[in-house]
Amino acid sequence: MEEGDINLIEACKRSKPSAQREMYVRFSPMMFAVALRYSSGRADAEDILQEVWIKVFRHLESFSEHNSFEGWLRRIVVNTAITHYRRNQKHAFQLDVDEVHATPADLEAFKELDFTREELATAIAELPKGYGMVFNMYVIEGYKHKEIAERLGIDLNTSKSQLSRARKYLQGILINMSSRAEKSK
Amino acid sequence: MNAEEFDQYVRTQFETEAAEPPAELENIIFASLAAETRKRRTFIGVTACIGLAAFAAAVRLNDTAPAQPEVLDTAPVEVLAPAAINAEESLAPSVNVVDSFVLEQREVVNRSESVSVIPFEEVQKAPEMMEEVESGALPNLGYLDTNVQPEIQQLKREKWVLPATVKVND
Repeated sequence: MEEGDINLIEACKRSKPSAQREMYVRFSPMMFAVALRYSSGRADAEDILQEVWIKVFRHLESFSEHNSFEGWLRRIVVNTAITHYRRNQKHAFQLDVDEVHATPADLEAFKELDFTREELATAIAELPKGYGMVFNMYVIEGYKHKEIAERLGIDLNTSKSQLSRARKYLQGILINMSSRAEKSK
Repeated sequence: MNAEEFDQYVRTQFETEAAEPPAELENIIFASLAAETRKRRTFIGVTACIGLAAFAAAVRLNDTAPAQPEVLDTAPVEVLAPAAINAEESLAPSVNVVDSFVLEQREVVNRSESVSVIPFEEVQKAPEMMEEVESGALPNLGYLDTNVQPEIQQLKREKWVLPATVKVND
C-alpha cells in the first residue's frame, strides 16, 4: 500500500472530515459500480453505497494496513449487497425463468464477438437474481463455491449448478444482443 | 470458448470498473455520518457522566465508611464505667417489678368494678338450682313471645305429616 493511502486511512481513523471526503471521492466510483452489479437498480445501489460508507468509517479501526484497502472496501460492498438481496428475497415472488441457453453453434460464434464492459454489465443485470449473485461472486469477485453457499444460504451444489446455468444464460443474452445489433445495421 | 476462458474474459472487463454515484449522495452520506457521530458522542458523554457520578458516590461512601471502625475503637471508653452499667442492670428489673405490680393492682380494681354483685340469698340457693339442672327439670319456655310459639308448633306439625300412600291393614 502506498504511503499516501496509509496517511489518508490514518487521518480517517482520527475522524478528520477532509480526509473522509477525500476517501469518499476516491473510492466511491469503484464501490458504486460493484453495488450496481449486485443490486436491482440505481436506487438500491445508492442505498447499499450509503450503508457501506457508514460501515467503513465506523469499522476503519479494524482495517489492517497489511491488506489491500480496495479489496477490503469491495468485500464490504459485496457483503452489504448480499444482506440487501437476502432481505428483499423474503418479499420477492419466485418467478419461473425461461432458460435462454446458448447452443454449441452459438458458442462457436461467440469466439469472434467482442463486448464492452457496459454491454456485459447490462447482460449480467438481465440474469435472474440468484444466477447473477453467484456469477458476480464467483467470476468477478473470485469467491469459492463454499463461501458463496455460506453467504447466500444455499447448498454447495446449488451454487455450482447456478453458476453453470448463469454462464450459458449470459452467453445466450450476449449472442441475442449481438444479433440484434447486426440486424439494426 | 470454454467456461474458464469466458470467466477470464468477463473478469478482465471488470478489473477497472467505475461508476459515478449521484452528487447529492455525498451530502446525504456525510449528513448521516455526522448524525451518527453526534449520537455516539452523546452516548459517550452520558456514559462518562454516569461513571463520574458513580465514582463520586463511591468516594463519598469511602469517606463516611471509616467512622464506624472509630466507634469500635472507642468502645473501651464505655467499659470504663462497669459499675454504672451494673447499677443500671440491677435497677432495671426492680423498676419493671414495681411497674407490673401497679398494673396488676389496676387490673384487679377494674375487674372488681365490672363484676355485678349477687345477693347472698341467691348464692345460698345455688346448690338447689344445680340439682334441678342435673335432674332435667328445666324451666318452661313461658318467656317466649306468644306470637312466635304457634309458628314453631306449626312447623313441627308440618314435619309430622304422613305420606298419603300409607295403608293401614286390619
